[in-house]
Amino acid sequence: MIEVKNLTKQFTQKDGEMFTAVDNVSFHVNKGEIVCLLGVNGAGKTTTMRILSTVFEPTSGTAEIEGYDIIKEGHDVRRNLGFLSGDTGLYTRLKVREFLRYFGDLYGLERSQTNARIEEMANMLDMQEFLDKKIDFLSTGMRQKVSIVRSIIHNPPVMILDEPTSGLDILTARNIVSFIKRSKEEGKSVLFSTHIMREAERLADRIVLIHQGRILTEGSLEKLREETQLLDLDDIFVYFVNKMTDEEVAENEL
Amino acid sequence: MNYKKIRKIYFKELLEVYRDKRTLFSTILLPLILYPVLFIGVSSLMTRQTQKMEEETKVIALENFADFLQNPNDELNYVVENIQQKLTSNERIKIFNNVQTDIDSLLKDGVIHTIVKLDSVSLIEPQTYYFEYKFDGSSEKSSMALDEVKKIIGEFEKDLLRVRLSKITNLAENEAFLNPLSQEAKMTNVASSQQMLGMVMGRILPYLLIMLLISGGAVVATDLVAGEKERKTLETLLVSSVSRNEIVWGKFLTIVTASLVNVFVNLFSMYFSFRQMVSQVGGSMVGANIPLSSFIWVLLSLLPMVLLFSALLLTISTYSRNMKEARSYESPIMLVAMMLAMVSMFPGFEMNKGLAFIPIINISLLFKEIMLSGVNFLHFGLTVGSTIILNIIAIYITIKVFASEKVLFRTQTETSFAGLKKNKGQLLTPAIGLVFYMIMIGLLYYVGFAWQQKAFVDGNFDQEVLMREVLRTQVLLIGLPALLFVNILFRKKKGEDKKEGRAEARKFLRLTSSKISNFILVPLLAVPTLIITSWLTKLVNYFFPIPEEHFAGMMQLLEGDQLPLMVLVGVIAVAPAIFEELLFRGLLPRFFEKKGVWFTIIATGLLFAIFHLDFYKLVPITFLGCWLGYLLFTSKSIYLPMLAHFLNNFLAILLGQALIPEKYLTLLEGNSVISIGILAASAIIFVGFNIMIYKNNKGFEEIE
Repeated sequence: MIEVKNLTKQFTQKDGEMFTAVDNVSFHVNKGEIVCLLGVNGAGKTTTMRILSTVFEPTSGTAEIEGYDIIKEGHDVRRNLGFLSGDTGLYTRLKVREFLRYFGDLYGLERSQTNARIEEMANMLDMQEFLDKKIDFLSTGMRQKVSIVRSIIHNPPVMILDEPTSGLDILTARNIVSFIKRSKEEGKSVLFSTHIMREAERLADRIVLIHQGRILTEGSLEKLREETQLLDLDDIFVYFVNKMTDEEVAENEL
Repeated sequence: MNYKKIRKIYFKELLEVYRDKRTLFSTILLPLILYPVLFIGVSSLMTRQTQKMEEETKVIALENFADFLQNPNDELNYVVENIQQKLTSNERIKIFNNVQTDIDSLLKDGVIHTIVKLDSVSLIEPQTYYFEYKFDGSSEKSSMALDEVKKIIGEFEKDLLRVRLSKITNLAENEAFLNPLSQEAKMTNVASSQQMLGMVMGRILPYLLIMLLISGGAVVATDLVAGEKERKTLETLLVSSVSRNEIVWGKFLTIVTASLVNVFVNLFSMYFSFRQMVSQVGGSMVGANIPLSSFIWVLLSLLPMVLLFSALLLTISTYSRNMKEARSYESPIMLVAMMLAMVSMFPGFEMNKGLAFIPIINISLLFKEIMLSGVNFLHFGLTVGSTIILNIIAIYITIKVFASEKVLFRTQTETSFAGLKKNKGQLLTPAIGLVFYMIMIGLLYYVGFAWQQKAFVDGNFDQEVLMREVLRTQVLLIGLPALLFVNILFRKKKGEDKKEGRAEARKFLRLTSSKISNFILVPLLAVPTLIITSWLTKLVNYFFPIPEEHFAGMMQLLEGDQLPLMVLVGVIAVAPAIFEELLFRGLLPRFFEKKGVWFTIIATGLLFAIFHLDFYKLVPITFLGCWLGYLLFTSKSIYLPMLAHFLNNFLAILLGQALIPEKYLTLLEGNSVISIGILAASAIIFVGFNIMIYKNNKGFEEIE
């Protein structure tokens, strides 16, 4: 369960003016549901997710992960959350197995549990051959797989994945997409972001369109298609962006 | 906090640190190779080189000697011939015989190493011989030749004396008669070999240890947070199920360990190389051991400092966006630590109760003391205690910094001129305030002091010139820059209302009116404040005795009777009250205000004290500066601190000019019941009246 309530994040810019990266955002992700946060670069996807991961504190509003408040119960939130983003890099001086065991330890798992989990995930994501290599020597695709295993080593009920397939080849990307589907079947709540419309189409139960820190609309792909009478998600996205700009212009004219 | 997780983080960090080849090389391998090469290689090379030079033949030229040969005077003949003969017979000396050449220039060229010139001889009894030795002081070989020649001639002098004595007494052959004082003189060195070694070690070791600690810790600290930011792994750690405090402790302990490892590896290598070197030179280490207990005390006192540096380095690393930035912030810290640590190498610097409170210097001197004379528990306690207090503060700051999103994820701040022009309020940050302040101190030191030096010519000083230059400093170097800065902030463009700009500037400097009652209360506080500050000076004097000359220098400004009193009052009381206040209560607080009123009061008070560039006055002036800041924020007007500043300096002039009757001053002297009673009364009046001022003005000004 993810429940986001009126989340706002402002940054102070150098000229002393405030910049609102996330503007009064609310949405939710149910158990066994995949929700996609869709928007262009700089729309506020990553900031929203970083707040949910407790790395940033919101300026106002809050959110709950599995019923735990991100501001007051950060520790419980992190325990129940698997988080992956472009900013969660790997310790390249460690070997893959060392690295994963380290995070198993940090999540308070027993060694036997961690080992079993590594074994299970390595088979699923085809990682056996590089488990004992230093991360330094791995390719981008291999590293992303390690990152994914790191994020869910503790088998969390909630997963937040920020552009999990960016920069990957088709095969690895497919591998990861099918992994996300499987997680849903296991009853996990998955929030992922992308700016690749096709991925959103294929995976998401519901899509949250976000632009300039604000939510444009949300709903299943069918519902969005119905509402706009458009077929392609690209077109739907542009439709809502235009609608927002028009509303803003109208507001200013009033 | 979960200790198991801290341990996990700690071990993982250590694994990563020592798996990195560069760190491994610079912290472990390098020291192991460096010292043997440095000590043994270089020292054996040096001894060999010196030996070689000593054994080499030196060329000596004898000037004028030929002129005195074949002389009818017996003794003269004896002297000239003997010296020549003794020099010639020495196998390491070669006499330069070609007398026709210009031997002076040959000496400069290094062909001849020393010239012995028999300048003149007085034949009146007792006969006296005047020699001149010419040598090249820039050449080691020439100096060696000179020493050798002087030794030979000195020995001959005794022979000559024996010859002369034998003419008057038959005791001349008796050794005891000739050497009445140096017969079998024994040499007893009261310093034990432990103390000798302790002196050498005590001087160098503290400095070395401190530098090793910082450099070893810095490499690791930089990597641990700034490095993680650079490699984008910090967030991975932050989103996992550990708290930020656990991360801080894990990383902190890693730095502590790495620092200690660095120290131990270096000391180990140094000790063995040193021993090797001593035995090579033929010395013995027997008896030259420092007792183990001394080492244990040194290590015990080292520990709090390791913790302090580790916390400091971790804070820097956390604040820095990348490793390069971290390194550039570390270097000034290293420099300061280096200079403070060097104190142990200065002769005459010894541990005392005051120095025990100054970080780094205290440890450095404590080591020296332990090495020389064993541990002094008072000094040990004060040093370790004060370091531990600093430690707790440093660790607290580290944890705070690490928990602060603004610091941990500090973004690149872009300073654009256009942006500043648009919003000049951005200039009012503590960082810019400090830069401005440092420029001001630079001006005072490099320009102001140079001006004031004009008053001192050949040890005399001209009070008139001094006063003129002090006034010039006050106006041009203190008041003017502050006003120029304010002018930049509030200058209006053409067409805009200039009057409005001026009004804004006045409000900014708090050139605003205040209640009349304030101006009645502050003069009543002038004398109590002066009494409190003079006690603070006494306190400083107890810990750090103020040198006589320094005190005389301080008073010079106020004493002197060359000028009318009005001039002194104008320059020393009125001018600072205007110009220093414009800077320290007008402009500077504005840089710090957003951080809170108390912070601003203390920060500007401290800056005000440092500005006086006088270590001994630091504490009393900080107190005064804070009080002036307090008056500013309660009265919301600069005029009140101006008045207080004037009164304080005015009273100091009256004291300097001995215008206050002696009978009042004697009441304040010493630690008599009366003087302490007066202090207590002053403190009560001070606190009471200040609370009154606070209430009278309805508290501090509220900062927007």
